Amino acid sequence: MLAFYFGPYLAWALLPRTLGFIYYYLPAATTASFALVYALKRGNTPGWLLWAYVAVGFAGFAAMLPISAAFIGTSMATFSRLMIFQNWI
Amino acid sequence: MPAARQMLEPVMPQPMLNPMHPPLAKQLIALSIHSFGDGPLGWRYPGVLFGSLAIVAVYLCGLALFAAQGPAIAASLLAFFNQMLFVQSRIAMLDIFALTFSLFADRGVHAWLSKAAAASLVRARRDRLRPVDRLQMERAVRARGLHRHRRRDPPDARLAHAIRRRAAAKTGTGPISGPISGGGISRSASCSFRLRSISRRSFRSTVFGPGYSAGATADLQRQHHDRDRGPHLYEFVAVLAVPGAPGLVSVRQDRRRPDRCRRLSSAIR
Repeated sequence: MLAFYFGPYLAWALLPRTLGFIYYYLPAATTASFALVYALKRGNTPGWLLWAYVAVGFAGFAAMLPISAAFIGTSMATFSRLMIFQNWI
Repeated sequence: MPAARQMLEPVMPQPMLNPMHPPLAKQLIALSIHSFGDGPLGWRYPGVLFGSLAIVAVYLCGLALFAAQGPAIAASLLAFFNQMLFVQSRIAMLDIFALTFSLFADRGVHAWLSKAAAASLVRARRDRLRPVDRLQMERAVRARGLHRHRRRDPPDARLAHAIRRRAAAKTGTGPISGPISGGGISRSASCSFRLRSISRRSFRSTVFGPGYSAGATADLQRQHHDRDRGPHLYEFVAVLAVPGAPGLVSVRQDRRRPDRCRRLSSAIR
């Protein structure tokens, strides 16, 4: 998992690019799904925790779907306001 | 898009657009434009297709990594709910192609590594086994990668009937538990297996072995012997490829209690 994560990530890690290029992170982000599942299933972690996390993921997906699927319009001002860390922009 | 359109020209115009990116994904988009027209469907179709395949690839990788369907489904759902993957599947960019090919490559690398590790461990242990165990192990090793074991023609009608009855059972799943020691270590084995009949006379099964959750490489493949022995339906030999404790386990599944599997013998030293 680490090899598959860092392989596509380290190729871009030191490039000084803005958040607009976050799609470079797509292969690594997708591989991170495995790490999440592994972390949420290891040891004595309760079985429902993984599925609760999946449900939270679904809630986030559903909440953002109107924007990510461009059902509604948005503006750069809203984009900037919703950005968690302003220095990402 | 302009680079893909350029590829549809009878002669490549100069200067070539977007030369810094490899051409395969652009060629796929160009093929889609050629098939579906120079419109949104033609532009977006390959991305949607490869985005969907990426989810399938995540499931296959999850199945290989976690050896169980639940975590594999959870991993593919998490990938599905990833906004970035969703958005990249809708637009004619090249990243979704890179992702999908990478994931299938990951699955292939994992399969190759598992197979190589298992073969190496089996080779290392084979010479220290009793002849009868060595024979069983070689049989099981031959079954590795083949994933299919064809029975010889049944010698009589009674056996043919038994095979049909077994084929009707379709599927068997269940855990196998018991202590396994060898190579100086001792661990509790907790395997699960899937058994599926392909046809009346051939079966496919996969046995997932101990160590996955502990990060060890475990890859079990078994060869079953479908002899009628009272209530016992399936009996098979599995090759354990756990680092430090490779060996053989012979297991019998009770037809009436498919969740109970009894370990018959072990060739682990």
